[in-house]
Amino acid sequence: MRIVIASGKGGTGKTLIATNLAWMLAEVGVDTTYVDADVEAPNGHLFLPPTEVTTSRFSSPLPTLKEATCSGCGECQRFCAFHAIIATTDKVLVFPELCHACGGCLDACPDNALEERPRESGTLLRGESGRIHFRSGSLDVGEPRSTPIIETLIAETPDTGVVVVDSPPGTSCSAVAAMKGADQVVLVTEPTPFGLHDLQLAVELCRKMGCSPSVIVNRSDLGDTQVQRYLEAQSIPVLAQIPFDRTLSDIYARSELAAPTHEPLRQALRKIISTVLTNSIGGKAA
Amino acid sequence: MAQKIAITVQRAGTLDELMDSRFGRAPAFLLVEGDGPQVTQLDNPATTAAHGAGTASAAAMADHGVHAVISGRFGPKAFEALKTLGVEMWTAPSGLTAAEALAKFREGTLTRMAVEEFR
Repeated sequence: MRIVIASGKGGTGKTLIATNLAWMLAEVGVDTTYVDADVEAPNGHLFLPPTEVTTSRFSSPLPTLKEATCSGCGECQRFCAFHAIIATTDKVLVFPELCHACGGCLDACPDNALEERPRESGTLLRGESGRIHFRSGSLDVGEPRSTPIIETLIAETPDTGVVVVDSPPGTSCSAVAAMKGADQVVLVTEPTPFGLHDLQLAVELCRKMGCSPSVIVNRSDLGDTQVQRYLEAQSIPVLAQIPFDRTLSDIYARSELAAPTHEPLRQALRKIISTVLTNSIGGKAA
Repeated sequence: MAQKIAITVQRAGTLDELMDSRFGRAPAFLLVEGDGPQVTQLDNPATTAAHGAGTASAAAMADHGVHAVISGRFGPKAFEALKTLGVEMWTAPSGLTAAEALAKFREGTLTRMAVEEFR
């Protein structure tokens, strides 16, 4: 079972929930894998430091001109919906940051002048953090496309036990890649106008992907009541309300897990686990 | 054959329209052949593209046989693409109408972008 911890807004508490949830699951004997899919700013390792670490470089295929077989017809350029390839009679220019590695230009080329060569854009990491299987990816600095590495990260996670995915924030391609195929999407939000705005976007995205998300309201006693009213109006299940607590912030700021010592969080996580594991609230994200 | 010049404009219309200072995301281009008065309007489908507006616009210039483009700024990818496609890039100050920018181009008082000035 794959549970994706996502949010619209950044800084709502995805990593707090994801790391502590993984720890609690492992604590009660569940075979647990934690996946840090926030490849542009991974920090799950601060809370679940992995040992027995192995890393591998990640690469995706990039079209490249083979020697002197191009007639300069421009079919590749016309085919590419992302305008990632520019062709002239003597040169083919590929923009790696625009290329989605679909391979379509190779098919479009009547001269068989293109081939794909691997291009590195990040690093994949595997390890063990106590009883938790730890996976993360990190995108190289300057690389704009995070989806391929996230997709690979997700595809390579085991099908056994429970997989907790710490999603990147937002509702763009990277969040979509992290949510795809999830059994459960849990959105972490906060009761502020910003939280509400981005929560609405995230809910919309989940619904477009064919799944019904559930929500955790973090710092639930701050802000206003708009998030609460929205969730009620939309009949979105609330898994837990976590009130603001300075002690919890302090633990988090020391990059420590809170679940082992913080009873209110522990209780909230227990409730989340029992609901998520016993109850199939949402459909599978398409 | 007369050389074709493109000017980025804030909306499709006549040469009295204001020049748009962005190449890739300009709403439209006006195409002028040689010294002739004939103006062709070309809407830019890439104006709201999420990514790749620069290369898409560059490809459109090549498709229309444009020899030189007048705009305010060219992004790094547009620059690379236009350079590869052999389309000249000329920069004009913002606030000019397309006609004024074209006049300056013909007088030879615009700057041609030949190095990656934005880097």
